[in-house]
Amino acid sequence: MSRRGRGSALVEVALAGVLASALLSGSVFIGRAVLAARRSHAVARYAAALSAAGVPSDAVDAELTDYVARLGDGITWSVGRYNRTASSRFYRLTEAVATADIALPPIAGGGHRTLTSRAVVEEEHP
Amino acid sequence: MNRRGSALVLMMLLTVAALITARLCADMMLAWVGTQRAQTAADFALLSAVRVRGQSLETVAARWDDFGAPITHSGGTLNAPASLVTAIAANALALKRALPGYQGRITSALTVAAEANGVARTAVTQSTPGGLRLGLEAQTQFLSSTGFPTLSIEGLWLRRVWLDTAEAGTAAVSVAWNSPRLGGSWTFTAPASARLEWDADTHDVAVAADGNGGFSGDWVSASSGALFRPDRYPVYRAQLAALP
Repeated sequence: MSRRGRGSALVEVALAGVLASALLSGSVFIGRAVLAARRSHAVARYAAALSAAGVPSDAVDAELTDYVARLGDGITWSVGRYNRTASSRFYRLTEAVATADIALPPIAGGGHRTLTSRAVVEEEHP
Repeated sequence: MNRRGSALVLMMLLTVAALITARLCADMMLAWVGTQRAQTAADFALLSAVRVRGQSLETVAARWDDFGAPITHSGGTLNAPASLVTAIAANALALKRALPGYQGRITSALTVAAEANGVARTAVTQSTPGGLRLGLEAQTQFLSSTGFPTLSIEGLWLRRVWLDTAEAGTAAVSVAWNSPRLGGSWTFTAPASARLEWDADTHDVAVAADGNGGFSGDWVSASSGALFRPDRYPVYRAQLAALP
């Protein structure tokens, strides 16, 4: 093979490598993001269900800490009253918001992005 | 030269195929997340509406007890002290007129909770609308009192329309969810089912002997000896049900 031919093959291999690594990196990122979204949503759902059922907040926090530890993600959550819409003020809606931080791949500029999940349900009558 | 050109075209085709595959995989994973969100919206919107129904039934019973407690029963007729007849008639009519408002609150709860969970009301379909009805019918009845003519009073007592005493009906909804994909979207539905259970302690002797599912289903069970008590132990609990 001539020097020119070897050079061209090297360029093709390098190009293929860059494309493959970009695809792989993108796929891994999307996979992590989707998994984080699903897990944070599960945490929000669980937090809303427990809080609306009248479970004390410290017991909810302890239960969710265990739950998040099992999931293995750095997910944080908060629970409060949902009253963002005018009609929601006529009800006693409990809102749980869970957030998950995911690291962006270097190809996307690096850094972090926060995924937020929300679950809202009416409180159980005491 | 031709061989290098062929390799480049092949590589480009492979790249396009890989990109399409990656996009499809991403779409499928987003749909996977979407199914969970739709299920939560269906479960929590329905649970909210059924909880509001239970609260409404308890509130209606408390309102009836406020004016209906002095009513007694003897020989198939209802009696009340003469001084209370006017107030009983007014309150009974007011409660009867308030029933549609309690029904509207249940329906509205479904909308509010669905929208709070990120789903438009139009995406929610009720499979068994009866399960989200208040389930009470105001009955007109004669009331006697010493020194008063016997009056026919609208809404003097409330009759339940559900049959089972242990359960006040099952409601089911489904939420339609669209998940975008390459070249279109996937549509799927998330079903949810919930029942309103009578939450009285049926092991309690008094409840077991006197309980009637919270409200009576007929005139006979509305009376308890000399007392007229159409609602007894009106406490309810909403429970999500497993789907078949």
